[in-house]
Amino acid sequence: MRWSGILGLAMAAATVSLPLVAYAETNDLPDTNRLQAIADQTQWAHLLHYRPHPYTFRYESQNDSADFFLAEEGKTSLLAELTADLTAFMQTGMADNSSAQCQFPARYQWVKQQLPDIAFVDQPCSDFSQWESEIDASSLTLIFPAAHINSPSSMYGHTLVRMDREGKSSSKLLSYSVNFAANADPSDNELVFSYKGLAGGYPGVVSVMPYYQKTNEYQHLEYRDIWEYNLNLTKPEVDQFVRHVWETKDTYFDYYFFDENCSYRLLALLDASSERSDLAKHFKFTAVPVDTIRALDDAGLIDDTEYRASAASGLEYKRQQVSRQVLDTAKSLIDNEVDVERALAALTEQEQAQALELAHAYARYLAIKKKKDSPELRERTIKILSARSKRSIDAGFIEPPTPAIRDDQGHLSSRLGGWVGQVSGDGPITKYADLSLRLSYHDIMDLPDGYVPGSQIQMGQFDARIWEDGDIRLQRFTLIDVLSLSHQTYFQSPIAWAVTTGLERSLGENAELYAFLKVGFGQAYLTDWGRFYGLADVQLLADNQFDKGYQLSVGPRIGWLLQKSLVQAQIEANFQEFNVGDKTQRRNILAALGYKLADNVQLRLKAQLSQFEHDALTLDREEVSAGVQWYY
Amino acid sequence: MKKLIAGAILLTSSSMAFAAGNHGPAGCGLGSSVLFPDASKWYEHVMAATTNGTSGNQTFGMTSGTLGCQDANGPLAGGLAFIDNNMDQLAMDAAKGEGESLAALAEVMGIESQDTVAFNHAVQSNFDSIFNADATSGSAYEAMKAVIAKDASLQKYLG
Repeated sequence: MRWSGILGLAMAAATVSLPLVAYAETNDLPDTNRLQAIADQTQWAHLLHYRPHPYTFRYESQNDSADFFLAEEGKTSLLAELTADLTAFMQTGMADNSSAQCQFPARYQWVKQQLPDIAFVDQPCSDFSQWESEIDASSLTLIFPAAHINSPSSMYGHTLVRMDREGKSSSKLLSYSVNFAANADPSDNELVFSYKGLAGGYPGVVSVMPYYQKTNEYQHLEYRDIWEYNLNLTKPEVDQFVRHVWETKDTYFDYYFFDENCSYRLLALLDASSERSDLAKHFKFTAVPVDTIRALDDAGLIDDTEYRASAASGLEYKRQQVSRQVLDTAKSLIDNEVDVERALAALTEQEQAQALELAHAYARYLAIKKKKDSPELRERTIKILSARSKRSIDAGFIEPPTPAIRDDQGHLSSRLGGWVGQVSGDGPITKYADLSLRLSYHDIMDLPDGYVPGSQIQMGQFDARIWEDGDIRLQRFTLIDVLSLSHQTYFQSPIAWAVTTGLERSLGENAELYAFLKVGFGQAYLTDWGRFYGLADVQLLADNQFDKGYQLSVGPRIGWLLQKSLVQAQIEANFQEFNVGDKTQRRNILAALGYKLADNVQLRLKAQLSQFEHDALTLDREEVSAGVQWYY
Repeated sequence: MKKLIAGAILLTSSSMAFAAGNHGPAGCGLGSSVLFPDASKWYEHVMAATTNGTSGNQTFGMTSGTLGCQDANGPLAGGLAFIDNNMDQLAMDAAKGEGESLAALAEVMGIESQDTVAFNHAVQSNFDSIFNADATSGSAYEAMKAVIAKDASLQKYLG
């Protein structure tokens, strides 16, 4: 540790008031009262990433690496770290890149401003200076890759910050971006990964890389549209951000998926760079990326936004601009072994260019999303580009327009609902009222604006029910509920799928709680009259209410879904006909209607019919309910 | 748990060490990317990248851009690292004769704005020599230099 020596000196200098090294002229350390006043400033705490711990209430730095501090108790004492840093900043005659000024340039800059009477002597820091000038940042842009098609878990999202250079003409792809990510152990499987991600088993590190690495990943591989939010930070704030990013080099923060995640850390980095920014404090328990964007917007830090369409959005939009003949030609160029020029002969020159570009996009889709691993596909793709290069004409495609509603303009992430309803069937009609809380995030019957159509992810939903006789029960708990109804298109054939697990009850007051795991696969189709889907559902139910304690069943689940801005509607039938364990056949038909009352308020009506058949005995139950959902 | 971290990969320490220059004429150990690599490799990449907010080795193993390659090849040198990281996007843009990646490449190679039309045209009309089935980023880069050498309005960039 090259700093230990300096640290020793610094500590000695701080405790013994005898200066051991040459200080800048005139100065000793300011007295303790003055230092304490500086250490108490919010900005100093932000620079050191001090935050009150949400559970232990301890106030300490979230940086978990000794290299982030000069003082031994730097993680827990703002004053000790200030004293040690200041002492080190005042040292002169340091070799290039060895001064504390070079290690903590943002702190140095800030401390200098707090102590204008001290004549600090800038020490040479060639590594930092060269890095800073290569980055050449003049403004910052927050980057938000939108949810990706057919992977609802990505709705949760990710954010990074791009450091833009001056001038419109310089390529955004060449700007550097700042990314905070868990440094996952690649040998861990998904389960271990998820566990460690939640529990904080991975170190989170800040990394800096060209933006093109991220666009290649998101735009071209994951097929995610990207939203770019230009921040209105001043040049001095931008400079301070760059300096502060440098300070996190060789250090780490434990990564937590829900709260101390990528988006949280970026806010904390911005907080450290700007006195105007105090945003991370709003996210003590969870930091959903899209909410961090809303916080930036609320703080007035967002200037304007830009949209970067994914390769898939481009393909789908361009597909609609050409004739069926062009489409068929494009597809056959990839699907069949054809002579390229002969296949194109019937088209006009511009149509030929269009067919070739669509064929290329289709080939990339097959390679990336469909994992078609064949040398023929690769060869055909290159042949098609070669043919395209022989045509200097512009294909004349209109690029996908910016969507009218951004991802951050959809309904808010948490939801509270109040419901009343009644159940009828074999006995008397019983009435109930529900209180429903969902921590995150979106289901297909929620207000659809700003969300991927047909996509759903819910985590942590609790429904408490009070029956008319006063009985209070947990009616349902959803741990996770993912549904992806991506539809078939001319070029793309995604698999619709569903996974959900939790606790629930059948209809009726006497029904007991059971655990469930449901998985389904199928297809979805989008028409002018809404979205139709069919899945094969495999359901595992477990509880002692079932014969043998469980039921494993298979059956069809078919439905229709309409997602309009104002009105939402769904009809779904699920017949679990084939089973092992408990032999009861369960059939469900559900109809739901939603109506937008305000941007974050929805009215919902629901009717459900359940039938249970066992040994030729059938039992029918019906439920109707109405509720108001409030997103917050 | 492995506290494996060495910390933030800033383009400094690692790639600046590079700049001292132990690399051969190909520069920075780059130049081996191929066009449209096998789907199985994409698959792993997608899996790794799909898990939000994490990027493990993926991020850390990557080169940090053009810095560090500047002493490798003299003029146009920044081009190689960019080509290495953007082969697929560049091939598409080259075939069309325009695009964001091609514009970025022109910028990295120091092509001035009045010559980008000539650059785009030269790359498009020589597509087959640059982006063929056997091409690597290294050979694409060399072929591009040869194209520039032949073009009257672009020769000057070879210095």
